[in-house]
Amino acid sequence: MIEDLSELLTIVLQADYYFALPTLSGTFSGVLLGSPMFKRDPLPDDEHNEFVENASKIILAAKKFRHAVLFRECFIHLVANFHGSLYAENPTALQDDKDVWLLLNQRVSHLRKMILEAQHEILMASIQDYLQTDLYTLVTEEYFFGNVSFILWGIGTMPSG
Amino acid sequence: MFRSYCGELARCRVDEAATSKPREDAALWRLLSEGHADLSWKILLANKALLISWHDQYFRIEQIRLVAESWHPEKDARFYQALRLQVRGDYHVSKARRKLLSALDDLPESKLVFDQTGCSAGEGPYKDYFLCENMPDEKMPWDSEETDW
Repeated sequence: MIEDLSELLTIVLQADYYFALPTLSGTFSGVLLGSPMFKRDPLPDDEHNEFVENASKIILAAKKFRHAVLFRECFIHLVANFHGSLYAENPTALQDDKDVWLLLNQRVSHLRKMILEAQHEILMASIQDYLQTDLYTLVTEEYFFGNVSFILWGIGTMPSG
Repeated sequence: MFRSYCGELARCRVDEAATSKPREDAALWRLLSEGHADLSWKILLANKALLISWHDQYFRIEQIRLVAESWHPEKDARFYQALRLQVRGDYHVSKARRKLLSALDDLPESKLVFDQTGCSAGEGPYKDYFLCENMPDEKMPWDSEETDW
């Protein structure tokens, strides 16, 4: 079992040296599952553990030996923290890797789209609560990114005062 | 001119027809994706401002104070987690509530596999985090068919 981060990176480095990356990729999930490096950092409560802190480094290693699960694990953290503290350690490394950077941007857009959808539904639900009518009977067209004009229309129909 | 053209393309990126050509040019495509991410960020920010200003007058949602704590729309995981719990029972009420519930369904979910912190989105170290990113295997930056490389 992999105990910590340096062990993980050393193994990848050695596998690369001995041309054993494909073999490593197939067998790596087992040694990662249950590894203590994914445990919660016991001291300051809301700090990230070592793994998350170094996600920008590990994602490149995971790409190297093509391990989809580990790659996605890092990717989730990096998308959630886009341009945040996880990028501070090595700010240009991810931008230099064109494939990863493109993917990151696309998936961040996707996440923002999901949040926007949720915000839109909150607005719709509250407009409806306020107007006491079913807005969806008035609007059948699919909204998206252009939804602001519709919301403004919604405000326009509100009784003033 | 290039810049304004990029802005135009980023705006209609969702439109497949407009993007088939730039997609072939990797550098341009990357630039457009960056622009699109930027643009959706701005829309998100504006929408959140709208949401908060609205709340002052019309909202009936209690957890909104969580959303008003920060101006960073991507750090609202706690809010969506709480909101989902609140509206869970409203399924039968109206179409708007149903749509709200289905929009909230995926957001607070955690897709982490190895993680052992026992925290999901909106808790502990992930209190500001959305962990719902779920990239499909075929999108990985390598060829999944290849067995030897």
